[in-house]
Amino acid sequence: MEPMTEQQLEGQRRLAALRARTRRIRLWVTASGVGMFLAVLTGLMSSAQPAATPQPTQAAQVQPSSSSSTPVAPVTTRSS
Amino acid sequence: MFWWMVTRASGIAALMLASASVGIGVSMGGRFLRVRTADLRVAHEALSLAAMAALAVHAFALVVDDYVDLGVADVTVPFASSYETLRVTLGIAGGWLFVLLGLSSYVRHRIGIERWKRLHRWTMLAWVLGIAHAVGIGTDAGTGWFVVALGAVVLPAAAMVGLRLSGASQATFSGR
Repeated sequence: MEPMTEQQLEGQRRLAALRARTRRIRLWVTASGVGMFLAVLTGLMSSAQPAATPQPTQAAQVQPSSSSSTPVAPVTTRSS
Repeated sequence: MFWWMVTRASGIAALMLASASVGIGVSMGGRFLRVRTADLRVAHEALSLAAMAALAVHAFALVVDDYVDLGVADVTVPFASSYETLRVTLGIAGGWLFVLLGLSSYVRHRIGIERWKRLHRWTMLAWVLGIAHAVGIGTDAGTGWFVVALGAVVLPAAAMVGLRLSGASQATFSGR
């Protein structure tokens, strides 16, 4: 096998540099996209208000009798 | 609740990534940016693929979210959803157009380069449909942060599109 010429070596170096550059750009874009998604998701979750959450069903409240001192938890039913 | 948040976040991410991709794609053709074309091409491809991934997450989250009760057909077939039919269809049509025209890049030699270039320009329509979908039906469309974030990517991309449509190029700006 003949040794590579200087021109061939230079071509291989340039190709390797181009591939490395391509990998860096793709990595940067992917990281930015994932970071942006997570930032928006985190922001939305932290700012979510419990009152703003739409409830699919109405909670049924059970009123305790006047003689009872034990609080009764509301009964929630979910539609199928 | 969690999947609803994922839906919103992925939709916003998809739109922002698509806007950045469109802006770079348009600037490549008009040679507006003094950046190596090879680098722009790589960034354009990566942004497009990232936007497609975000679109897939957006559709998946809508299907698995048990509150909105949407099936696979509702998020993939235009006019199939009974909920906000037109606005949902804008998003579905824009999404499919974006994916198909974007992926067509990998078979452009089979399609023919000139024919592919004419087809690929319609990606801008897909982008506009996505904006209309987000503004029309997006939960966060009326919020200040959404307007600012979207404006930061949509306005530059829209400016690039306007410049290309007007026939301007880097040669125009450099006085040559």
